Parts: sequence; C-alpha cells; structure tokens
Amino acid sequence: MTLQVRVGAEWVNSFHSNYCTQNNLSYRDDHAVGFYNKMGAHGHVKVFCWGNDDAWETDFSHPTHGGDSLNWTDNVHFMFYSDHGGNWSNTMHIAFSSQHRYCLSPSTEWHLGSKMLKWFVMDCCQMVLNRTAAHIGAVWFGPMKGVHLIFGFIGNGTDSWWNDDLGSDFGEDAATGSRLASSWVNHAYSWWLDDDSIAIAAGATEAEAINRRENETVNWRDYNVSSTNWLAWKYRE
Amino acid sequence: MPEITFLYRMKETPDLALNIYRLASPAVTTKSLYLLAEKFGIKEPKIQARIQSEEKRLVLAKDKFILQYHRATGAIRFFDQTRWMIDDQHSNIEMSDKKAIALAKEVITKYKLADEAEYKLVKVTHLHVGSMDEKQSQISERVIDVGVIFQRQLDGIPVLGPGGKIMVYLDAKGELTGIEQIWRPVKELHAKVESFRAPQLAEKQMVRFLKQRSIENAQVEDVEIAYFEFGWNSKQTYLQPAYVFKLNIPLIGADSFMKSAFVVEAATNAVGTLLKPVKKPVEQVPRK
Repeated sequence: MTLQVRVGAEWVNSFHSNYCTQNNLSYRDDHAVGFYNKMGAHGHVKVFCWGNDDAWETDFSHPTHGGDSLNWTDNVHFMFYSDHGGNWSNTMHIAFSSQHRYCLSPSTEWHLGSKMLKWFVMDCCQMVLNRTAAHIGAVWFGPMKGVHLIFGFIGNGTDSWWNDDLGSDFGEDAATGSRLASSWVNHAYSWWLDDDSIAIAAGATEAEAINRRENETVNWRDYNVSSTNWLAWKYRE
Repeated sequence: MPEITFLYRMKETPDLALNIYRLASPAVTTKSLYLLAEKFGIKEPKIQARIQSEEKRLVLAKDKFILQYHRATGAIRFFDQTRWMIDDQHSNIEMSDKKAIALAKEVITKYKLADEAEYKLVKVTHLHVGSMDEKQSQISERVIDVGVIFQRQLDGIPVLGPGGKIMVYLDAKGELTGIEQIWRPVKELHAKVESFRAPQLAEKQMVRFLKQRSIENAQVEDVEIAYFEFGWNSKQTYLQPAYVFKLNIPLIGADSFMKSAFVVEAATNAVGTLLKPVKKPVEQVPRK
C-alpha cells in the first residue's frame, strides 16, 4: 500500500510546419500515457494528461515568469513530460507544438516544487549534457525549489517502438512503492539504443539528498525538501 | 519527401546462412517460478516465499531476494533488494573490466543461463553516484556497481533489440547483486532463409515510415543485419533476421537530436512483419 499521489502528464508527437516547427515524433504518447494510466491503475489520482497542442509551455513556467505552473505541473506530485528537449547555456529547454505563449520552455523559468511537485520525469533529450558535477549543478540547483527527484537522460534519448513501454514500466514500479531513482536508472538505461539514464535528488543536507537518491519512494510524498542545498545523483553508463 | 542523410549504407545484399526459428512458449506459472527460485538458490520457496501476481509478471519475494518472471517472454530479473544498485555509502569500484567480465561469466555458468558459445560481451557498464553542495565546494563521486552485458549470438550474428541479453550486476567486492535475462528459448527451426531482400528495399520502407509520420529530416547513423528479439513484455513467436537502422531525428534550432530505430524483416520468406502499424492519432478534446 502506498500513499496516494496526484499525477500529471504532457507529451508532444505532432508539430506544425508554420510555427513551433520541429520534426515529428511517434511514441511520446505511449511513454506519457503509459505512465499516467499505470499510476491510475494502482489507485493514484489522474489529474491531467495533455498531448500535442494541448500541452502548453505555460504549464511549466512559474507565475513570476508569466506562467501558470502552480495550477498545472506544480499542482500534482508526479509529473511526466515526454517530447523533444535540448540543453544549452546550462539551461534545459523543452519543446511544444502549440505557441500558447512560446514554443520552448527554459528551465530558468521553472520553480519545480514550489507548491506541490515532488517528482518530475523529463523523458526527452539532454536533461544534462554530460556527467560533470559542475554542469549538473549549474543546470539544476536553480530550478529545483522543493522538488525531491528529477529523472532524465545524459545526452540524447530515444523515440522508438522498442522502448515505448518505458513509461508504463517506470509507472508500475513508482505506483507500487519501488525506489524511484534506481527504478528510473534501470528502466531508462539501454545499451543497444545508447541511452544513459540519470536521476538527481535534492536535500537540505548531503545525507538527505543521498537518502532520497537511494531510498525515496512515493511514500516520501510528505517529507519535504526544506532547501535545495545539496544534489545527489545516480547514473549508469 | 523526408530529407535523409546516410552516414552509412549497406550496399550489398547479405550472403549469410541464416534461419527463421520458432520460439518456445514461455510457460510462466507459479510452479515454474518456484523451480526458477530454487535454481537461484532460494531455499524452500513454496513454504516461505511471498508470491505476487501482476499483470505482466509473477514476482517472488523471500528475505532480501526478489525474482520477477515475465509472463509474455519468460524474461527474468533476480536481485538482492538490499544491495542491487544501492549505495552502501563507501564502496568505490576498482575492479578491472577484465575481472568483472570473468566474474560475470562465472555467474552465467553457475546458474546455467546460457552456454558460452551463445553469447558475446557487448559492454561493461558502471553505476555512478555523486553529490555536491550548492557552492560546489564539496563534491563526491564514486562508482558503486559494475553491470556486465552479454549479447546473444545465433548463427554467427548478434541478436539485437531490447531482448537477447544477459546483464550481470556486481558490487565492489565482485559479488552478485542482480541478474537480468531476456532470452526466449528456440523451440525449433521453422525455415532456412531462402534469400535476403535487398537493403535498398529496406531503406525505401524506412523512408516511407518516416514520411507516414511526417518526419521531415533524419540521419541514418548505422544499419546492420541481425536477429531481432523484443523486450520484457512483448510476445514473440519467431526469431528472424532483420535490418536494424539507427536513426537520429534532429531538434530544429539546437544541437540535439532524438535517437530512433527502424527495424524491418530481412528474409524474402520472413514470417509476418517487424513493422508496427501506424498508430491512429490520439484524439483530444481541445483544451480551453
């Protein structure tokens, strides 16, 4: 039995030729909806699952930057995003097909966890570009404002039929109380697709960040990160 | 028409003596789970273990050990939940890859997972942990496990895909913490490959695949011929040769690309198809 958590998901497969132009993708819905439904199947609360033009950049940006995150991504405990992503100037960017305001959302506009968000999956490219501590810290100390753990890839990810159950596999583990960081690193790693997975935990102390990285499950929902003074990460390559 | 850049092209039609195999049904039952548990050294599983029946797998838990047995495939994940991928706060792997490979092979032999002629080393991976304060004045980084991956071989060529692998996880002392194996047993020879489709035909199918998905440009990084085995939870009846294309789909305006793979059967007498039908677009109520 696990604590019940609120779940959100957003994904984009289809872009437009005249604005927010990107190459289309094919399996992002499988990942995001797979996670969302698996969490719901185990009794967690399905709050929203927006796809394609219904996924908006403002759902991620904090109101201080003109966004609406406190009503969407930061109004759930567990958020799963699946689409194109890119990292430059030590800033993560995620892409959208709908120019609700902008076509990209930069991590400099995110205050992850300032309200409710505990866990955030970036199932896209380049959550970090490399494994150096300086780069990991430069990208993620700023946006992590109470979020417990973030999950993603070092470098590029894969859009393929052959890993389209990543969301549901991770969702099965997460929903049933498995250790989150290890589960993600295990499921998202793929030698044949050359995917290197990473999870990053926050904590007020080093011991807290490490404890979250090693042991946190959804049952840690109400054990808040009082301050992101430390990051602790885990990756396979 | 999608704009395709080829970094590598297969020009010649393969001239290989390959086969199409019918795979054995996995027969995942509580009884076979108990037998598997005993094979991994779990004593008296019928009496003391807890069994959980999930949609995609049976799970046996006893003491610190977990054994997951996947219904559709017979794939297994066996691990010590107190040590597998867990940081003991002090270990730092200093073991050479050579030593890790030798130890991993001993594990495969001990548990009779495969004969040595059936697999090849493909990669030695490491699980890294790190921590850092906000001022970056205190940084700690260690390597806490080694995961040795072996790839299945058949008729002298690799078995590619999410399946056809054994991964052995070892801790800093070289002791086993976990095993993963996706390896569908062959039941019988279904047919010899009569001949191969030209790789240019497979390229055309790939271009059509990209076009159907309105992907405007892509880069083909590699293509090879291999047997292709599916992942943890996908039913598969035949193991047959395939052309496996590795693709990159660029993020426009940035130095980033999403990787992808296109897989299509290679034999002229292939059974069925490895292509997934184009999905119907997900209809959504417009958001207000």
